[in-house]
Amino acid sequence: MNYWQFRRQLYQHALKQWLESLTQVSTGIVALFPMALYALLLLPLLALGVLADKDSQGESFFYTLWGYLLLAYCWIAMQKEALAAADYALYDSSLPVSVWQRGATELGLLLYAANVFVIGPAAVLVAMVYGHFAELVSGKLWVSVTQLYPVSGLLACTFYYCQSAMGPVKPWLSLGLLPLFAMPWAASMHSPWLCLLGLVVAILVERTVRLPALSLAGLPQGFWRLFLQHDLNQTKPTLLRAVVVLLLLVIGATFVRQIGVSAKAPASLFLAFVLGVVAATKLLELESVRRDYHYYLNTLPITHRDSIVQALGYCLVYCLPAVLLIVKFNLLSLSQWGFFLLSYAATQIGILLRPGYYLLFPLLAAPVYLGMFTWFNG
Amino acid sequence: MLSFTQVSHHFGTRTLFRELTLSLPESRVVLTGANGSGKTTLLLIAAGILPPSQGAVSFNQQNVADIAMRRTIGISASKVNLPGFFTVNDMLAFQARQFNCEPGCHWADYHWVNAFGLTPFLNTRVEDLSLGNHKKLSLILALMHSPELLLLDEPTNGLDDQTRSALEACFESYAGQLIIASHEPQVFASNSNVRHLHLDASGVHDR
Repeated sequence: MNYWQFRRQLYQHALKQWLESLTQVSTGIVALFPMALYALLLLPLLALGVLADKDSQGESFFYTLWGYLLLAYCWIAMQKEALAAADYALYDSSLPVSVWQRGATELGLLLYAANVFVIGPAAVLVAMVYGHFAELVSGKLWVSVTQLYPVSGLLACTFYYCQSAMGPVKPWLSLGLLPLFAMPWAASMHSPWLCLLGLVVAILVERTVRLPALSLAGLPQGFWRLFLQHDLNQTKPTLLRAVVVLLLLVIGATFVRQIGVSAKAPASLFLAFVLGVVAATKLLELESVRRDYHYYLNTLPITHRDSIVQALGYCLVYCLPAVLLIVKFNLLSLSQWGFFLLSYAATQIGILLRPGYYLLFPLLAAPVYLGMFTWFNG
Repeated sequence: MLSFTQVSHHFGTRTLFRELTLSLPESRVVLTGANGSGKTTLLLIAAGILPPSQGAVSFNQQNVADIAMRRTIGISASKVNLPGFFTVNDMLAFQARQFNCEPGCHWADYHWVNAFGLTPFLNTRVEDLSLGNHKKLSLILALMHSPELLLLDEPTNGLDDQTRSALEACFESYAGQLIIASHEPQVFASNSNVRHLHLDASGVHDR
C-alpha cells in the first residue's frame, strides 16, 4: 500500500464514521430528505447552467454563486478532519514521507473530496476553451475572455474556498455578511463581473481582518451553557442545518419569484412547512445530548420537565437567526408564518412524544391548519 | 441510612440482583466483587440515577429517585459520562451553579482543586484529561455540594500519591455516609467501623 492509498483509506474510514454520526445527530434533516445528500450534490450540476453563462442576469448569478460556493466550502469544512487524517495525525507525521509527496497527496485528496464542485466547472471550462480555440488562436482574445471569465472565475473561487475550508480563515465576509447585506441590490447587478469582483475584494478583506476569538465570558450560564458549548464544540450539525436552511431560502426565493401568481401561495406554504420542520428538528440534537449524558444529568437537582423546558427555550433562541433570515427574504405572508409556527410546534411535540415517528405530527397538523384557514376565509 | 427494598435489576436477559433487601446503617461501607458483578450498577441505583427493574431504594426514609434527593447524594463513577466539551473550569462552574454551591473564590483557589492538584488543568477540556485527572474531577463534582451520602466507584483508580493522601484524609473526616466500590482492600484500613460487603451471582453478602 503506497502513501496515497493509505491516506485515501483513512479518509474513507473517517468519512464513513462521520456519515454514520451525521445520520444519527441530524436525523431530522436526513429523515426529511432521504435523498438530501444526493440531491445537494446534483445542485452544483444544475447551477452550472447559470454560472457558466456570461449573459446570466446579475441577480440569478448572485444567488446561484453564493449557494454554490457556500455549499462547496461547507462540504469540505465538514470533511476537514477526515481529509487531514486528524485522528491519526501523530502516526502520519511519523512516516518518512517527503513534503512534496505529502502536499501532492493532500491536494489529490482535496480534489477527490470536492470532485463534484471542481470537476463540473473544470469540464465546462475545457469544453468552452475547445469551442473557442479558433478565436484564441486567431487573436480575438477579448472575445474569449468575455466568454470564459464566468466559469474561470467560478473554478478559481471554488478551488480557493475548498482550500480555505482546510485552513483557519473563515469566509465570514465573502460568504456571510456581504451576500446578506448585498441582497437588496442583487436585482440591480447587471453582470457577473460585479459579483466576482465583490467576492475577490471581500476575500482580501477577510484574509486581512480576522474575526476576534469568541469569548465565553458573556454567554449564558446554567443549562443553556451545556447546549451552547456542545454546539460550539460540534459545529458540523449546525453547519449542515445552516446550509440546508440557506439553500432552501435561496432556492425557494428564486423559485417563488419566478412562478405564476396562482402557484405562489402553495409554494410558499410548502416552503414554510419544510423550514418549520427543519428548524424544529434542532430539538433532536438536544435530546441526543440529554441521552449521551443522562447519568450525569440525572445527578443534577433538575426535573425532567424543567430540562425539557430549557431545551425548548434554547431551540427557540437557536432558530432566531433562521427566522430573521426568512423575514429578510420576505417570502412568507402572515398566514404562512402561522403555518411555519404550526409545523415547528407540531414537530417538537412529535419529537417529545414519539421520537421515532415525529414527522407524522406536522404531517397530520398541516391539513387541519389548511382546512381551518380555508374555512375562516370563507 | 441507605435501604434497598426488594430491588431486582436486569440487563436484557441477565439478572444482576433479585429481590435484594438490605439496610446499611454504617457510616462506612466497602463493596467488593468480581468484574461485571454489578457493583457500579448498584451504586447507580443507590444514587437514584438508574431506576431498578423492581423495588425501591431510600436514604433516611426518602426515595432516592426524588429530585430533592439529588442535593443529598453525590456519586463518582466512570459510567457517569461527563460532557467532554467543557473545560474543567466550565464543568466546575456548571456543577456549582446547578447545586447553588458556588465557592466564592476562583476555582484555582478552591480547596478540592488544590488538594487534588487539578489547578494546572483548569483550562483543559474534560475529554482531553488523563484517566487520573478525570477521576479527580469526578470526585470533586461528587464532593462539591457536601452530600450526606457519597457513593464512589473505584475512587483510587489512576490517582497519584498526593491525591490518594488527600482522598484518605477526606474519607476520615467525612461526616456523611460513604459507600465505596473498590478492589483495593486497604480502603478504610485505619477505620475499624466499616462494613464489608461482597457481591456475586447469588447476591450481596457480609464478609
